[in-house]
Amino acid sequence: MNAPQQPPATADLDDAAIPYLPRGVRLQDDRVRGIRVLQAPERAMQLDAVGDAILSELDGETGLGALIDRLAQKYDAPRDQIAEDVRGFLNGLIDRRMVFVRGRE
Amino acid sequence: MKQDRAEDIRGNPVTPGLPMAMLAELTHRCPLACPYCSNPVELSRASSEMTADEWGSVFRQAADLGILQVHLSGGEPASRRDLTEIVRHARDAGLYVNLITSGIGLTEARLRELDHAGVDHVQLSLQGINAEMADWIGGYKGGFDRKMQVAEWIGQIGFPLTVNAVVHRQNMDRLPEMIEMAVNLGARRIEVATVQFHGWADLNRKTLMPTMAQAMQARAVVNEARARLRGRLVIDYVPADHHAKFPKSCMGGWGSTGLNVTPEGLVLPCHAAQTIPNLDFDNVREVPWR
Repeated sequence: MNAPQQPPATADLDDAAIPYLPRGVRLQDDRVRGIRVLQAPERAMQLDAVGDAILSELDGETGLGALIDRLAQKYDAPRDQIAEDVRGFLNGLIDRRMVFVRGRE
Repeated sequence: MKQDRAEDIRGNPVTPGLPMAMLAELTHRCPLACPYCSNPVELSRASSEMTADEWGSVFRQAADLGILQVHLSGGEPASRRDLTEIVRHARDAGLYVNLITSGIGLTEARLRELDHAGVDHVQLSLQGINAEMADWIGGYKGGFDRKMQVAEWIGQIGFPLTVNAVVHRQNMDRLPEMIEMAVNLGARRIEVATVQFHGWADLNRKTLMPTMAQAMQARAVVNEARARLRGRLVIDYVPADHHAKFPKSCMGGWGSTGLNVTPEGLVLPCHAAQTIPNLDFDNVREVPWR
């Protein structure tokens, strides 16, 4: 059977969108393995430094544009590149219902 | 197998992973009587169940071992009057707490208590899309209506909800409606799990085993729904056994990602482990993990 056709992952996450971690999704230390994990219903996902940096910025108030500005400044990286990484990463988690977007619940 | 070096069946070295999840069978008591129950045919008695404090100790040991999530299950975990205390112990140990329930035995007040105690996520089982099917499968009249009421409270309190739809020959053809129902109940996730044929399900396999055509159709339904509901509903699918060329690896490798603890404290690599002759398993009451 063929995999279903997927629309582009970065479809409609504009700069005003406010992504956040919903109830039941927690960012935390895994003290035994010494890693950072994202805990969600029946999922525990190991985060790399980039993923951790992005999710640590989600405060439920900041829009995506401002969030990208902040990360670009903090990591002294080109904004376009940061924007692509952040959108790709968050869209993946939005699809899996581990990140919500305010007003779109 | 040599003790100092784990090997697979071909003699290749294996690095055992730390288990991430633990299924805590708090009790084998349950108001329902589903013909595919994952509990052993010999159920544990209420008098042999571990106390809330004993579970607390197990949770702390589990967390030290690297367990991140605990699935509080049964039987029906709500049959334990001290469920709230058990939840509190699990959260105090730092675990992510998943409550797996039929909903029977939960009142709104009890759900609010469980909310305050720190339940992270609720998984509600669904035996069918209407009272006729669900109450027949569960063997409990009024169960379906009760479940719908519980689902409403779960939504009001704001627990993230997974609908756990166990599918088999009798209800698999209604899978599209089950998925629709999960959406309508506000679930973030549905687990479509084909009955696994051990224990009770094996005794009832004639009635429960889906046909090959049903299994193929279910796969198609899941694929279509995954694409259509992307970003709204996550669909996890456990396909039917017995329709593949080779058996699936048990539990993704025994003990490598999860373990089971029975009501009286036996530590098992999977539900069905005790049915394999000549294997002995330790009890966490007698052999602590640290």
